[in-house]
Amino acid sequence: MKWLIPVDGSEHSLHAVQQAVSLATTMKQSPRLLLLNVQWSVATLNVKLLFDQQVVDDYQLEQGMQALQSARAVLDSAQLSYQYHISIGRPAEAILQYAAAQEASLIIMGAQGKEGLTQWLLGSVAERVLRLSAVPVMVVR
Amino acid sequence: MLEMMQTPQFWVDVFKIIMIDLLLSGDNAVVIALACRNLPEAQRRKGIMYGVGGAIGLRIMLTFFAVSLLSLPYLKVIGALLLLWIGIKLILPEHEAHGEGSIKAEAHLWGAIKTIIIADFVMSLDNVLGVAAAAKGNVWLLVFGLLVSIPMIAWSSQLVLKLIDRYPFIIYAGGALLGYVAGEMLVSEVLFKDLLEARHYLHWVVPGVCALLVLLVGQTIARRRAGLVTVRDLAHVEVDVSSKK
Repeated sequence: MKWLIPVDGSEHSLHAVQQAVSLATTMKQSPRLLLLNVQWSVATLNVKLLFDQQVVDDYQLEQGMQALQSARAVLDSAQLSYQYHISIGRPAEAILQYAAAQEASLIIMGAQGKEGLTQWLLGSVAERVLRLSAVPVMVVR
Repeated sequence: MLEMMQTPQFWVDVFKIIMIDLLLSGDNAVVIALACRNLPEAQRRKGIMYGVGGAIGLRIMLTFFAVSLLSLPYLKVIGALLLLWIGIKLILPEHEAHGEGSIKAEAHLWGAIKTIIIADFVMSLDNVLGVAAAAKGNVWLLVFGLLVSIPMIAWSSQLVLKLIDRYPFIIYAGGALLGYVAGEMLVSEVLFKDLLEARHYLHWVVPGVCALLVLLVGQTIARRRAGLVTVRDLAHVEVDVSSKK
């Protein structure tokens, strides 16, 4: 059994991780936990024109590691095995793609991300995942 | 100033300038962050501060430079052509080419600042030209355009990038707007003054045609390069408790 937990470093996503951990510890057979952080691509035309790809990748990797940090701390202190993954793309699409690739049986995520204005204009990632996912989704409030 | 603010044309111009600023300065903050990446922690804040300050100064200089240049004959034609290209470029999808730039993240403060200034020069040109064209020589509008673009140098939430991804028509509206502004610049060229006085309808036909041109060319090239934005993997790590103990 694999549980996918997409995180963005926000309070909400951390809350989802904690929920997932407390659920996982009640299970007879502990599920495999997959952390995922999706970074929006910053490689616009200008950025590509000016910078080496490696510089851009390093930057996005660092941002991704930062976003994963709090969630990893929770899993580390709970002494659970997990894997983490960083990808670049549209958040909802990347989450669904990774869920399919890893054959996740459940997606656990926070109801909202960290960006107020963007979310107000575009709707939350959770909403979109909920609408498009082929596997069960648990949205944590 | 007050009288000017009562005309609808003024507010149309203000709207145009905000749109152009938003569409053409989305990635400034990222570039500054990239340039300062390899600085030691203590110098990073300094680098970002100097970089932003230098970028603002450079943009102010470029704006006034652009305005005085645009008052010379012929240069408006060149400016208009450049604007048409900027509009088309805006519509083109970001094809998945790898970064080909040669700039590495600098480990020295002055190196990082130099990088930021060079980068901002490249990025400011689009923005400055667009704003200068939309302001049509009105100094108030020009200063307004500058003031709007300055916070975007320091602050970027990638909101515009995300909005565009979700509502691609923003890009087409922006491209058409740049085309329209290019057309307006073209008809204000002194060389065509006689021609245009006789045929007044050209004052809106030319901008309209330019807007359509940007849409058509942009769309044609875009269709050839069609392909969805893909998801790319950056890192994958397994953390095993049993091996840690």
